[in-house]
Amino acid sequence: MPPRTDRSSRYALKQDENSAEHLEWLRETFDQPWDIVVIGGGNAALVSALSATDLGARVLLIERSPWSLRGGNSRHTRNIRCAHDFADDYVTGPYTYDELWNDLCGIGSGPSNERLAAFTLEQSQSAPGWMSDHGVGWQPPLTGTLNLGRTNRFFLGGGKALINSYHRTAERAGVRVVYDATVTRLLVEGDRCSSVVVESGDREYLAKARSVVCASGGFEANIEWLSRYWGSAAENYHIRGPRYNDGLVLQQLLDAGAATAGEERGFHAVAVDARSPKFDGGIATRLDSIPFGITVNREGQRFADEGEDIWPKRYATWGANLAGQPDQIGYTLWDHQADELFLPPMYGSLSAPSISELAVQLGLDPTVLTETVRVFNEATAPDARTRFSPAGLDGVTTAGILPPKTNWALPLDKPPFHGVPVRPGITFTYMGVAVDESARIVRQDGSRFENVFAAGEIMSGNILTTGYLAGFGMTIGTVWGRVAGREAAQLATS
Amino acid sequence: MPLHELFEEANRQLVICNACRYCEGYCPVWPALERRRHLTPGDVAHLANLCHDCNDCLTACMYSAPHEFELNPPQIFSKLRTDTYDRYVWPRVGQVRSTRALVGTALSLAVAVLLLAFRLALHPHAPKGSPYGFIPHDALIAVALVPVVWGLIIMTIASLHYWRDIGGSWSELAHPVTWMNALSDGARLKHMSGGGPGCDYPGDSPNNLRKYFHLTLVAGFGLCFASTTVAAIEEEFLNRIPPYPIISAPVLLGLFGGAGMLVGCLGLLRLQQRRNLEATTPRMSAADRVLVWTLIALAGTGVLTTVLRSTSAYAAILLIHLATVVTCFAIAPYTKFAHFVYRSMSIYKDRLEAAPRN
Repeated sequence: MPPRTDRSSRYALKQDENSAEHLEWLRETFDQPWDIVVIGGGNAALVSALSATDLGARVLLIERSPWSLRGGNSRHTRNIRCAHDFADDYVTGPYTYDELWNDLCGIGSGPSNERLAAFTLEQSQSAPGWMSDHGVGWQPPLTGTLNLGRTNRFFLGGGKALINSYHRTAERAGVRVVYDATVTRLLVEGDRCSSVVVESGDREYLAKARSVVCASGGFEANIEWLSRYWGSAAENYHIRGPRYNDGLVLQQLLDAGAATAGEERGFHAVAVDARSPKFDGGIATRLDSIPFGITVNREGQRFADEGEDIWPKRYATWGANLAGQPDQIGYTLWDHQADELFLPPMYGSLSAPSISELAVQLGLDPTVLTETVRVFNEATAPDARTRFSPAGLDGVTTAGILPPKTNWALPLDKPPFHGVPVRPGITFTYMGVAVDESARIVRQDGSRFENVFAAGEIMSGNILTTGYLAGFGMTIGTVWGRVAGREAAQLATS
Repeated sequence: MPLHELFEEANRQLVICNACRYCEGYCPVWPALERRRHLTPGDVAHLANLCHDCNDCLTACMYSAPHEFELNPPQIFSKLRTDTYDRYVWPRVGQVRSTRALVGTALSLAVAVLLLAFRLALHPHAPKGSPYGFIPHDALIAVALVPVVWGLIIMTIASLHYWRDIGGSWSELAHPVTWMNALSDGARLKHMSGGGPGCDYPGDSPNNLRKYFHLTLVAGFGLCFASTTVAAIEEEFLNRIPPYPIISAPVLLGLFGGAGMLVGCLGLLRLQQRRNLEATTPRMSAADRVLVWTLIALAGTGVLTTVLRSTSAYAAILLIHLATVVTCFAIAPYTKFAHFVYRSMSIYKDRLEAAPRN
């Protein structure tokens, strides 16, 4: 038998979006009533769709992007953080509910809604099995993943491979996927929404369904919206995911009276290479050098403890650290002895035999930067080099400077010196719609929409406030996608 | 594309890969890349030949076109491999560069050998069904041995040059256990499995069809080789002169081997026709086709020789088969047949590198 190719993808690839055949297919798609319309094309959307088809529902999925860029932010993910009591082929040891709970409480200001957060953790325990059952492949912890090998499970090939697997499963389950289609309006009547307006090509269609699942992500790619909370600083942010996450559906829901959850300025953001593209740079543009050197702002001054904790726990604080600096730019510096301790930056580094020459290359004041490095070096311990251990918290700290560097504080004194300009790279925003335990969207008056559900980043503010745990966005998307799909299907097929 | 441009492009892509590393579960190429922070032309050649072209990294890549990073490791690796195939064989003419050059070589050689064979065919006495009815034993051995020895010399020199260029040292070559493991990895196509679920080949869903067809082809080739070896032993040491009965080791091994090769070849051809062309290059596709058709000619004429051995067509088909065998051996180093040599060297090197250090 010839290998199956993904027929829906082949179909989408070959279709000229204005061809008569494609228009006819769209007309036929939108002519029929569906049990469920899922808005979005990332992890939460696909999990919702699969969870609903498991209960026999007929699902239409509206993906904003073309086939080749499908999957939203999930394209750039790599792993999921779930609680588990035992090691297995893909995690190196137990990571209990209690430990995950403590980790979640230790970031930002803790969980935003403790009841929903606890529910997420509880449900996370069955997520990996469900994912395997729906086609997801895993990889054992290898060199690149070992530091998260106990707490996080890694998808074989990463997030796009996961999305591809889910699409294959969805295709077999009969989910219909429309690519390159934008939901411009939700037609809400009272506490119900039975149709949404979809724009595809230059035409408008009406998708009719008994339930609607909104899994369309945050608003991080909408610079204008970001600037409502961040002012002009937002213009200097890099958006790590696709341009499509403009919050159009979120805005519709808020306009229809949905209550918000999460902080306006809440987001998951990391330090990315300032030379990287404004959008969709994903994982390859982030900088892992920060714990092994110092980071200064435009004025050549340090502004945060670079050695606060191991990088997987602290990498997500650096987006906000940089966002608070003038021009939202920083410069991460290291010297020759640290050069091989972290993943190589994709654009390489600027290098020079002295700090002042490096300062010139980076566009910083050479006198100030030389002084910053001198003061930092003097604050390092004389035996720092013998106690230095990059594998874990080594307690090699500075003395007498503010901010201190509380681990891995080696002097920068081995040329050549390296530097890379960094900016905040936003992964996703937290402020979204409030939901109850059935993933139904809650309204400002405390009532619920009867048949409108939310899953994934669009409702992550119910759980996260400001900080982030690596792999937890996928946990939220998977847990709440399963709930939303199940509840929507039960409603639609009852 | 000139080599320095090829290297620049490979380096551009692989630096991004090395900052991402999502593919490390698919095959040893990516862990091998992780061990190299700064790439040399030898490094990229090594990675390219370690690649078994499963395409899984391309379908998993969020940076493939239309993303502006435009990553396409299978394609750049294909370009680098054709460069390897061209670079190390002597003389550097035609080679995989052009299908026409190869076909020309094959045809001219075939004609030459055929003419020779027909002249020898005038020899009248021998039992029916025996090759020596047409060609004296010693002449046959000589005609077959010359290209075999030539090919072995050419490929040995090529592989040693390649070994030096990918950063190997002579002393590192002396690890018999590692050699056994590496050759076993290669023969079993261990790395043509996409980390478990299979290759995204020819489309974008993982499956093991190409692996199975390739294994069938190699196993068939092995059986044919075994058939020849057994026949030589029977003849030289046991004084049993062909023709051998149907139920005999040489005939059965040859028939099953030939059938395996044909099944493998036709399967691979069919898959290749449906392949995602963005993941390869026209030159590599041409090289694949030439190799597969060569092997089809080899196996097809071999099977026909056995099937028709008691008919009047025997003489003609035997001569065609012998000419094909000789031609295939002669052109082997210049076709993609040689790929397994470079791949074996790279698998061996990878095993040395990846071995836990004490």
